[in-house]
Amino acid sequence: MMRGPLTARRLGASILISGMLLAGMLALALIANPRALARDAPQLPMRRAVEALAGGGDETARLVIWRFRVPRVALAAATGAALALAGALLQPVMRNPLADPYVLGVSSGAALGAVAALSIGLHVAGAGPAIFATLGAALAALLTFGLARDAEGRLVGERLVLAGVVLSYLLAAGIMWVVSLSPAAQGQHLLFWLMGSFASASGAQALAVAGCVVASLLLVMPQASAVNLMAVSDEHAADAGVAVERVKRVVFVACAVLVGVAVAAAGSIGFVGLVVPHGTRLALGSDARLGLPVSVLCGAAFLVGADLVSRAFGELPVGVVTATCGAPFFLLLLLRRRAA
Amino acid sequence: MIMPPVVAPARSVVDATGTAVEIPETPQRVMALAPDLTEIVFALGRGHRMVGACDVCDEPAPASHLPETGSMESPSVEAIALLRPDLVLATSEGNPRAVLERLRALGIPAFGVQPGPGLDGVATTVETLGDLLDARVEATRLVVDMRARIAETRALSATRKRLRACVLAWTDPLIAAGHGTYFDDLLDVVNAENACAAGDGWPRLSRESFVLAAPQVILLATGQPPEASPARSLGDWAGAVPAVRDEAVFVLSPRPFLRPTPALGAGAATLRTLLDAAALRTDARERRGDGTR
Amino acid sequence: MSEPLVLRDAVARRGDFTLGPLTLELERGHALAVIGPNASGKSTLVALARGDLAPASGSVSLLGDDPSRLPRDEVARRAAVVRQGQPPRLPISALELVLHGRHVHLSGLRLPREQDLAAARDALRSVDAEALASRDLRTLSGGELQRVLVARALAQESPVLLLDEPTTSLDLGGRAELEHLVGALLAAGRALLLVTHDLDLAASACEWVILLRGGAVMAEGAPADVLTPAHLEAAHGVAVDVDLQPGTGRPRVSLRGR
Repeated sequence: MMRGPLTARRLGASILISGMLLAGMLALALIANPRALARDAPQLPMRRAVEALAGGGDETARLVIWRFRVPRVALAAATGAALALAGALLQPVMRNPLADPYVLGVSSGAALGAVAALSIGLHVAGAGPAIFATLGAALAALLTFGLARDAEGRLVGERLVLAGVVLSYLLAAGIMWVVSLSPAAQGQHLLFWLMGSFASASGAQALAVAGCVVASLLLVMPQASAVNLMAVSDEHAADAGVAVERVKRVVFVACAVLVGVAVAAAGSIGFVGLVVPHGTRLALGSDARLGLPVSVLCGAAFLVGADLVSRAFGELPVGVVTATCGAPFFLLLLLRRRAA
Repeated sequence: MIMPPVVAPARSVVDATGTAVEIPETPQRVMALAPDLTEIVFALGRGHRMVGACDVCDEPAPASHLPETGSMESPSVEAIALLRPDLVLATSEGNPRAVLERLRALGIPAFGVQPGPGLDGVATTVETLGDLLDARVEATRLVVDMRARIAETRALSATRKRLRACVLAWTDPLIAAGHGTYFDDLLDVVNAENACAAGDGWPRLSRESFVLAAPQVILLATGQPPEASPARSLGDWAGAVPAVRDEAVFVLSPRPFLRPTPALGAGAATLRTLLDAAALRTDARERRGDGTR
Repeated sequence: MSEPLVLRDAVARRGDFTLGPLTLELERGHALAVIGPNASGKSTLVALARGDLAPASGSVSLLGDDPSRLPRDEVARRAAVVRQGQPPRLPISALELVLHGRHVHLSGLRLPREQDLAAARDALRSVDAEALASRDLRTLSGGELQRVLVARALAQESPVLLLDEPTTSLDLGGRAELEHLVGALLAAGRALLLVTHDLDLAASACEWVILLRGGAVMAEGAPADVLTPAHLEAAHGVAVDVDLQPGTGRPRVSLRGR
């Protein structure tokens, strides 16, 4: 027996609860003093953190909070939202509950752009390799979408995945090439970047990513119902009056932008785009009108939490934390399926 | 295929991997697969016995003319074998362990060195190599000399007030020298508190922690060439850090600082000079009443 | 008021295949059957009627406008399609799927209103699938799925219905229901285009039959005039006998035994 059609009330309640979850996680991340394993690293006591957030507090606390912690937490939230939104869009449109936004090849393009720029020493003041990562993402997206069109110019889901995977392998080879040609210390630095980190977050980056998330959400929410129809089949959606090619274009472009910006800002952080939308669907059902906003909020909370763990364990790369959470999630899924 | 040795092996020594290696009493054809090992061999006065070294083993000057054995990360076993060495030196800090096994399979004596922690570890490595190369007297002399310089530097630094310092191996992300590194020891020698010792080895720091640590001196051990203004190389975000404000950010040259060799003894003296200069700037600022924290 | 569906000398091309020239007029409250062997152009005709294909020459008019020039949602308001359905890959309930038919009647987030829920339930009732409302579509049999797809088209409340092989998975009971449903729809004033292999259904439900072969019209007219042994043998290449269905007096086709 399945739950009934989505009502405005259920939508509102789910968004509210996810919003509260995010708010709680943000508060924790802004105030907490993760001492755990970073034994001697200086930390800010909670009391001073709260004072600084409230507008008062001493100068150092204010500097730490507003110059470092707020941008970092904001970037983590925005990145988590971006990746989760991309996954929440892709899974129904590709009719694959295990689709990950990284299959588009865009993330590898962004990573290669960033790694190449870092190794040559190119950087735009303050922005790090972000611009080159975005360029790499854009080029990869163009290539993937170009390869994925069929004879009649339509975007075919299966071809898109194939093109994305092929491109990912190619670009990964490029990345390994760049890393292997770099002197040892820099090679390690590149690898660390690839594993994802919010340590160098700036307010501008956080705003840029958050802006993309908001713009994408405004663009795709009116299409959310169409996405539900496309989750059954393209033909079914077309029969019911959906302009399928237009929706696909909007969705894929939005995903490419979201992934590109996320990777450019913070490196390759996996599993968020896969686990958060999938988990949301398991808990709340397959309606995209619910899945999209809730994934955004939960994705943000998830990555903020992961970054907190990263800070607690001596700046562990965030990608490692998300992978550590992601793997058991899938093991659970697999076992559930076997039992069912 | 086993290659017959050039000089008959006369004794057996045990290396850091616990393997017994057969070497001549006085090795005549020595190879080193890492720059610090090369420098130590030359410092022991046995440079003329070297027949090959790694591609970045460029110092001292005569070493740059030696035939190359490939990179540190992947030495060329063929190049090594062709030169018929009777002793190959490798270090666990940079050479892959597998190369030891491959060389031994070809009958080439390969000795693995595992440098111990800190400056004491450097002394041990010098003594080990002195024993291997039949240069025990020179080894003892080098160690005594290094220890003497360090003691002298420590005494001279005691009069200056204790400063908070950090040694950074990388600036983005921030990777600092922690407990157990010889940088940690050097800071102690020059009467500086290691403000970024957030763990053993090379811990990563968040920018927030770095700012809270508020080091008064920053030493950049990144291996990058120095820029016009090292204080700026950290980025705009570091403006509030005392060391950046007082322009007490110094670039450490790879030789001697980035290699665990006895030259660190002289390096300690250089370090003391840098810190004395920094102390003057900090004092000047305090007298002007700008405050440091 | 404009005619539901009019084709005048319409020609459509799909790759090497050419359909037409084709002329037909579908009126309100009437059903038209299109029969013929596989690959004779039946599906192409449905695509033409919906405007998925633009006519290479001639004209197509769906309630007064060329459907290939209309936006997709307007086409869906005018004409609903029932096709053979594949089970979906993601979980979805039957009621939810039927509500998809209401997509074009809503805007914004398109959350269903009371009247949409009512229309959906009525549609399920018409195909005797009310009990399936909360069932996951992936667990339904072929026949049950087919009925839900018909319900979806009904919920769309469009004046024209295009049925593409609707009886394929249906058992005898389902087939009977469909015939009954067709009658009810016609009585309510809808226009039906029925593409089918089920010649008996074509004969009993429709007043006009078009026989296609290789993209060309082989015969058209009343069922009794089209469903003759001569025509069917020429079209399908098999020998048949035609007698009358008891009750309706319409033609009944049987394969000639060997």
